[in-house]
Amino acid sequence: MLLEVKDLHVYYYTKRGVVRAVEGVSFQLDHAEIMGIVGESGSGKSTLGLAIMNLVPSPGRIVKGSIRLEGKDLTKMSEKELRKVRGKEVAMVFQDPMTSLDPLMRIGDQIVETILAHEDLSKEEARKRALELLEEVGISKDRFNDYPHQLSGGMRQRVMIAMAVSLNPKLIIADEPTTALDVIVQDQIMELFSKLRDEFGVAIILISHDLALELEVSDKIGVMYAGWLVELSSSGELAENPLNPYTRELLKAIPNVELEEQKLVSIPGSPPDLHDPPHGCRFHPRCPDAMQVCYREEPPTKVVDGRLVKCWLYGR
Amino acid sequence: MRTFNFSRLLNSVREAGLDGYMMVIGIIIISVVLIMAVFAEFIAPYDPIKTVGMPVTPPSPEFPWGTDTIGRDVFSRVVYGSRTIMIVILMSTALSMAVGIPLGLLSGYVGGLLDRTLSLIMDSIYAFPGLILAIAVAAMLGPGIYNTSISLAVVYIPTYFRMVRGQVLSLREQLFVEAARALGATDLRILRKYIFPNVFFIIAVVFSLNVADAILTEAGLSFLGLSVSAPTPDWGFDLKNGQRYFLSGKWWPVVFPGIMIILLALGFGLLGEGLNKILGQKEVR
Amino acid sequence: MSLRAYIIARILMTIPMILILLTLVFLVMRVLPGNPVIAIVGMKASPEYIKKLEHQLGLDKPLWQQYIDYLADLLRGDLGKSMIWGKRPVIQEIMDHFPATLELTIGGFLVSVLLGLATGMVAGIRSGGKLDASMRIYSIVVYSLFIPLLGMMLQLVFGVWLHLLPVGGRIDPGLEPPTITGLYVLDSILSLKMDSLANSLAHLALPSFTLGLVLSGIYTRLVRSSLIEVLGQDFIRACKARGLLGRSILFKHALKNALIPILTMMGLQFALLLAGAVLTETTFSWPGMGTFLVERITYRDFTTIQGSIVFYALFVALVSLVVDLVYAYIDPRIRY
Repeated sequence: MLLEVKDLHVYYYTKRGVVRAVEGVSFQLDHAEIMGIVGESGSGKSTLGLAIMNLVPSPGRIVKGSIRLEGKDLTKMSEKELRKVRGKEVAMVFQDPMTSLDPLMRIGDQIVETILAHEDLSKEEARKRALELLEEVGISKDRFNDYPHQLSGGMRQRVMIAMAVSLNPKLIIADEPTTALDVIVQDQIMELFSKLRDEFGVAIILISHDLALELEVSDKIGVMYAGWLVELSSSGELAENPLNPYTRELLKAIPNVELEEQKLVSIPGSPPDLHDPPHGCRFHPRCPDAMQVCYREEPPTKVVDGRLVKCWLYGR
Repeated sequence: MRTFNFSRLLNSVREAGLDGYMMVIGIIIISVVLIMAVFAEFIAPYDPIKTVGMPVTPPSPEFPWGTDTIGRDVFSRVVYGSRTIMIVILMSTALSMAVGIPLGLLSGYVGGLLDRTLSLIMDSIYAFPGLILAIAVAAMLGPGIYNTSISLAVVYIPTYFRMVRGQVLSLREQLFVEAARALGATDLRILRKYIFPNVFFIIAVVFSLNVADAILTEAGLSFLGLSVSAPTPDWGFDLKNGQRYFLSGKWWPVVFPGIMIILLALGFGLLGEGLNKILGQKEVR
Repeated sequence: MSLRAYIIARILMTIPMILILLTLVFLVMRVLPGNPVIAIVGMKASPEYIKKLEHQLGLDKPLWQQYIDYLADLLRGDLGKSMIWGKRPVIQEIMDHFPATLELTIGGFLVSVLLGLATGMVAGIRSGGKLDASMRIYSIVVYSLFIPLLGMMLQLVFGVWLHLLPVGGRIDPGLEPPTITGLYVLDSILSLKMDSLANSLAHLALPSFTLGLVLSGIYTRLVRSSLIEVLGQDFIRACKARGLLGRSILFKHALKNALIPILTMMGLQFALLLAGAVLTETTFSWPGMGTFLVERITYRDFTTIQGSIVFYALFVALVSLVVDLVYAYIDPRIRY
């Protein structure tokens, strides 16, 4: 097993009160596995991604739980130890490739800098590796000296990915890596992720609001709602037979390409304010299957046919 | 338009913490100087332009802040000097506002060629070193309270212009003006009813910070001998007069007016800073 | 647009600014109420003498003619002749005094940037904390320090009490280095005269510190707010996620990005330096443009006053041009 997240709680201590962005999330991830994490904005999925690197921004904090990467607990590491993990063992690709690169530094130098931060190489060797990496992600070598603003969005994201794989990490966390890109580029980037997994055996956590995209590439998918992991199962089973009503609603909202009329179905209502989430099950105000108990008590997380689900439909 | 509410203001001072205290300290300093200026006759023990003792007498019960180079009472001169600087500052600020604010409103609201021309002119003046511009005008106009006020006013017109124009431009885009126009409000009504109240709060902030700067410029002009003419008590000029005795240890003719200059500038600076944060959170957004 | 096209466009844009400044100077010197000639010679001069002087200065011509003459003279680089001291060309007099001012402003600039960077970075990194609050108060307080008083206090402490530094002048007589640039520090280095270098630096210390300290508060604020903004940006988080050292994130990435917007403000900062330099020079008997201008105002040397102000205007326009060009060169994103 590569990664084991157990009972993770991440809270933001804001002036308006405590925001429970991630609460009681547990999952496991194997080498070379692609896991999707899907949810609406504000569901805590990005916070979860940052938490795995122990990079939750202030005023947020990991308040409970553990994150074990090959047995070592990242929540108990010093900043110095963490620095050796970040980039080297776990790498991250962010949503907006425009703002995630230093605008004043040539892209090649940014890759070289990352390599040199972790490995004892000469500048020349690092440069050679950076050039190979650019080629690997499909960017021609003569772009090495370009500044970020000279590249298209898709190319910038490829640079981010090149940087992420530059140190052969075991895990890449990609937070909405294609949201800022158009559809064709989106497919290319996804292919690149699959290729990286196949060639280098890197595991990937793919965070997205787009369930259709997740279904295409992920081996398994975790569904987040209002800080909770409400369902976790293999992609096939999830698409065939969603257990949680929320997952079902998400699936319904995927536009069907085969249908003539392309109407966008969205789930009625809006995600709750996490300063003051609904009592009981947080999804109950929008849930078509809500029962008495959902208003009163938080549902337990149950294992059903080897799948995780947090819902009252499956009993106590 | 919001109404002025004293208890709410008091609350926000407390909430604002450091900003609130800075504002209160600023107001206290300014009030003390204002009281000195208004009641100079009652506060000053001596006539500020008469020789009342031996030259450069150290502070003593008779002359609490000592005497200056020709035996005038430093304390009395400082008290009356507050009147000089306050009058100059108020007149010059009123003048810069009277020119800068209407021009800024007009320029921002009308736009087009007029706006571009006015902005270019104002930006050029703004880019010119303020004190040197004031020196040039003062040198041509000659000494005196009115002329000094004009010299300072010229320097600060662009500040008010730029600030008001920028505000009008951003507010103009906002929905409520669009809505008012759709309802058929006249231009003048829009200016008066919607834009001006919003601009008002920012003027208060810019006013304080600007006055802090103007005090230092006035004191500078006066230190260079280009402000009011002798023997009118004026802090900068008095400081200059004491300079040649200062390094031989006779500090009082220099230090007291100097400290007053710094305190008064600091007072307005603190007030502006505090206001900026407090109003910035509450009203201007 | 290429960098070259931008440079040309920016240079062309300077022309209206210069014209406006020159016109402003003309308006101040000729149109303001008060006859410059009477200002020069005083009320009691004979009407014939006033007439003669007016004619000599071209003040008897119509205003538009004076304006054209004024601009035409400037275009030829002619600032007129001084009305005292053997009627030397004003431009020569300025060139005698300008290097001193330049040296002082550079010194003040360095001090203010160093102090401002240090305080602003502390405040930016610890934003919201006690250190941040202290740095805010620092920036307000130093800006209120009246240059002459601060200067005199420093003279008293470092010159009179501690005997560490000279209290006035640019250099001890006899130690002047051969004139190459007119900047004593630079000339001393170029001509390898170490005693001149030490002596001129010692003279420069207090005036530069006075000027720099007062203006450093502005940089404190600029650096602070700019740094806070940059530190909140995505790429800083991305840098952390790549496991870069905190130090190298701060200096290599954050600070570099934070300084770009500050650079654009440099032109206006320079105007403040020039204004502050007038007071600093007067306090420290520093023989620069400021002391020179004030001295000539007391002698009512009309042409020299006008020439000096024109020179200031041109210099300010030049600095703002250079700042913008440097900015375009440094920031790869700027290509209009």
